[in-house]
Amino acid sequence: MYSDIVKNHFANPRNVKEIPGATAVAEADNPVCGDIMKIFVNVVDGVFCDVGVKTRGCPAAVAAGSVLSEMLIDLPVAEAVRIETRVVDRALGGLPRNKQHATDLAVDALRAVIHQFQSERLP
Amino acid sequence: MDPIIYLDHAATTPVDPAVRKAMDPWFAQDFGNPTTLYAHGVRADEAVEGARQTIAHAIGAQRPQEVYFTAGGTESINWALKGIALERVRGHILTSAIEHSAVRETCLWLAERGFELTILPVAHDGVVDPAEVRRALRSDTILVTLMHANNEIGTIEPIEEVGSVLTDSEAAFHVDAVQTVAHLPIDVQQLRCDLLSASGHKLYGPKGTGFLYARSGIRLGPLLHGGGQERELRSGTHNVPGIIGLAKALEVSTRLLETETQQLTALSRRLIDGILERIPGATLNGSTERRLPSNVHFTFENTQGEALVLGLDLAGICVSTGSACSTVSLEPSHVLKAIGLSDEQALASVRFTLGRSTTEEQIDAVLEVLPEEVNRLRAMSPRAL
Repeated sequence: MYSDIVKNHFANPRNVKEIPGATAVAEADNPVCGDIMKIFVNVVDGVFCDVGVKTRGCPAAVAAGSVLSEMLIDLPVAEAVRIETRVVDRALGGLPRNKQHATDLAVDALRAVIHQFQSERLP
Repeated sequence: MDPIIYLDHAATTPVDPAVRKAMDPWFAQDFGNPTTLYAHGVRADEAVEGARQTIAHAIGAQRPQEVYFTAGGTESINWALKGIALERVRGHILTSAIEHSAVRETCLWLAERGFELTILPVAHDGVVDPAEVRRALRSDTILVTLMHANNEIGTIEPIEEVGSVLTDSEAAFHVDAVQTVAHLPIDVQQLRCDLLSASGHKLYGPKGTGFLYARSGIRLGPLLHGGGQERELRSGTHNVPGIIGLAKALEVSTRLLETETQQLTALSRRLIDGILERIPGATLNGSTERRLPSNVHFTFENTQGEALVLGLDLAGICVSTGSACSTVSLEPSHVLKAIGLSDEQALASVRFTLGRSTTEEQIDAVLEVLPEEVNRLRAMSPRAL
């Protein structure tokens, strides 16, 4: 059912941590299946220099958060806004059709944290 | 020790070696069609009738002719419900909120076609109250359908008491016994049911086999039309090896029932106690007294069921989230919702169903791995326990 990449990220999720004093923190949830994902980011000079992800959800959601955290590190925020669900899906080697909500959750959490970061910078 | 720890016997069971052996000659050696007239076919017919007798005897049917062979639990249930309803054209159907989807979906299908449906609630432990059945019963109730034991939480329903309530009713009483035939003593006279559905692969028999018990004199139409097998009520060439295997499986299971019940009760107790002792935020679902000896069902707060299933799978342990059939669905189980669990609790639940090959060592291995996996998931969660 799941690709080896998904299983690997589920068994050894990357960057599972909270970042005290993070530049921005945001959470997203999926009301249908109850999954929640919280992303912590530190941004220096417009670039994600540290990312933490905490997820409570199905293996696909855990893997999506994990693979997203890897993509984000050292990525300029301006480029991260272009990450779409299919990019996360591809990085996971493809999710089963009924698990697409996992990449939606990860991208929702990403957009929320970017929004949080951008609104913090507003005067 | 077996490399895989299989704790999903409510989903399916391995075929017993004696069953496989009994089936073997009927594939290529005695492969005749039981409806033919030559000796080759007659032999198959005699074997099928022998199997029918074995099953009738095991469930306390008065006559072997009350047992009809089907291709499984879902077919038996569909046939019983549609076969009763469609013969009566209209009327009221009574069922519970925790039925298997084979019953639930068939009832909803009939409701879409004009039958009136009452879905009775259950108590927090999953038990249907016979007094509620009495209250909901109407003069035009044509069918009452309840499960003998729940496939998710293992609650055993008071079928005999409901049977008593229905004594003076015209309604046919169907019991979905897919989880109980060969696992609990079954006597259709004691249960006072008119129809009873069973599946072969839940009792160490082959997949694609099952039977429907229908009391003599009950007005039941066919589901499958065709060559008129099974006294014009269930057309289709008999699955001879399957039927032989089903009867053999029931025979073996009936013989082992008492010892197996003792073993499973002790093993599930060990698992339940171990979980409660080692894992905070774990709640046993279902009834403590009225429970299938093989069933252990827990909610592990602040986790996710499917993640636990995969985590345990990676450690070689097979368990399940609720109903095996609903693992493709994202919605929380209707059974867990019906016993009052929130969506969050329902989605954080796991079912362990023990079986014939389960050992103490396996339970102890699960009790080593499971707390670690629960802790791992909780450490990943943005919420605190």
